[in-house]
Amino acid sequence: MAELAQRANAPLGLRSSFWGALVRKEDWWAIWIGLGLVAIAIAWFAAGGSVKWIAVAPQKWSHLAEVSAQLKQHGLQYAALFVLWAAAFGVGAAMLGIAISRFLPAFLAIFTAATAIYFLGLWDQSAHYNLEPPLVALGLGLLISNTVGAPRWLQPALRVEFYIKTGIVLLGAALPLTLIAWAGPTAIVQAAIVSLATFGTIYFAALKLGLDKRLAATLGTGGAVCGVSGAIAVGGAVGAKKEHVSVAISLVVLWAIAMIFVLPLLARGLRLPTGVAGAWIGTSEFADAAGLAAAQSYGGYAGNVPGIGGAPDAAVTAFTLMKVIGRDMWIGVWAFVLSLVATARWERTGVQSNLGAAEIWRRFPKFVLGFLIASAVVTVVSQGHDYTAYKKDVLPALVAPLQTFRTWAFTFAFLSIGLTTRLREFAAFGARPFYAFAIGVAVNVSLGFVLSTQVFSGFWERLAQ
Amino acid sequence: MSIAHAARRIPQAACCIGCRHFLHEPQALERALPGMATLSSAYAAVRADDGLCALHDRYVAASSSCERYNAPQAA
Repeated sequence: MAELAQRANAPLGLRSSFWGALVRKEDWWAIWIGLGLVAIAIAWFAAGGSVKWIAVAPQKWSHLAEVSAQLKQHGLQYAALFVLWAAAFGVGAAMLGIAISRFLPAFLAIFTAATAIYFLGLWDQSAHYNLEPPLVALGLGLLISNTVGAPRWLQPALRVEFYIKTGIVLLGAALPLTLIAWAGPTAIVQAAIVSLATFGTIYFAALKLGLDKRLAATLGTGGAVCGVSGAIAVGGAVGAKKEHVSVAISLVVLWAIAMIFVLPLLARGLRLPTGVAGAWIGTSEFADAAGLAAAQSYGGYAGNVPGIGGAPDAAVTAFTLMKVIGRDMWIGVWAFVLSLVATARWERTGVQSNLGAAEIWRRFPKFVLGFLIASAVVTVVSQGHDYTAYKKDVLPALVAPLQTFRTWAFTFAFLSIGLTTRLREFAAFGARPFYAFAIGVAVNVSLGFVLSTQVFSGFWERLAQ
Repeated sequence: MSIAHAARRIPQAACCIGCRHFLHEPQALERALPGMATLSSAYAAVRADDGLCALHDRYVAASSSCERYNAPQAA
């Protein structure tokens, strides 16, 4: 709060205008970067070439000598890739107000660590030792930040959401719009059932335990809709106490990180197909970055763990459809409706909420638009190619390099999750909020499991194939 | 107050975004709310321009208002 005192003589603050948000919100920068890469890839493809030279990625290896050989052979490509990412994210970070001189050295460290983790994931024994890159990135980050601590100079490049949103926009390029249109309604129905049940459970459990209504709503949205983003969107909309927002953030982060390990482990034990497991994770994980870490890990089991069927990418695809289309898109509606209920029905706080219906758009996670546009554009470009030509020309020259870019962006995010999770800094949350949230988690995970593996299982299995 | 009435109200001129008690700069918010940057972000669209009110110790929308609005002094 000391910073508030410094604001005494500061100029009047201004709400973000539509045009201002285009350069001051990371959702929009994820769109500019993601769609920029898609546009460059398409232009190159149209000219008869491909961006695959710069979309370099490690290949399978058995011995360290092969890693060394790959780095020697493709060193220039890795350097060019670093320059590309550093320029894209550096400009974005600078526009968000993060000094580029502080961002670049930190990002170099993140890129180097991500490269090492990417290589580790391509070791031919990695599945045997459960060295899935997302889990390794997360585990390594958690270990560092909670023992010796992540150095302060690294902080400017630890932008989990910036990387994950950019990756989701790029993910759109690999999903035909027809697939999104086909699977979207099912995802929305399944997500709506689980979101309403989870919110209701947490909210009423919290009230039963004697907690404040605004805390109950903030906790409920964090568990039911989109994790920390849901908690802060609704916390602000209903005017929750600062300590209550902190409690919700702490609980969501801790449960989300636990679920990164628990959900793939359970799904693996049950030998769920990748699409079904992705749908379950999409229904029952709390945050995009955490869920993508779990889904990408599970996708890595396909073909490596006996009994797990489906395409590796189906886990991430099903997760994204469920989480982004089914849950994230509706956060503005939740915030608006709950702000109305808080104003009209709950006890006064001394602060008058004035939210209007425009808040639904203001809080809309704009990166979803980038995801849909990327899908639509690549779908149009692919028109006119039959399946054979698509596999022979479009996939390797256009879609695969964009998938590689996406994997890099996700790896930066997974590494950043662990490195920003400093458990000792989290707010203490007490037993009652923990119990309320835990009851909601139990309902969320159980209901998500039943819907994904029983009610809609045929649908998600087809997606996996 | 009815929900329909609440939905029709329009923001007032002297709202939190212009108040000296309101903290909404992204970097400061992420420091004030540990964990926010771990699985979300103060730069995210979903946050809109929400921030912390030091007077009421609440996390509030930028368009909110109260009787103790306090504009920063002119430079």
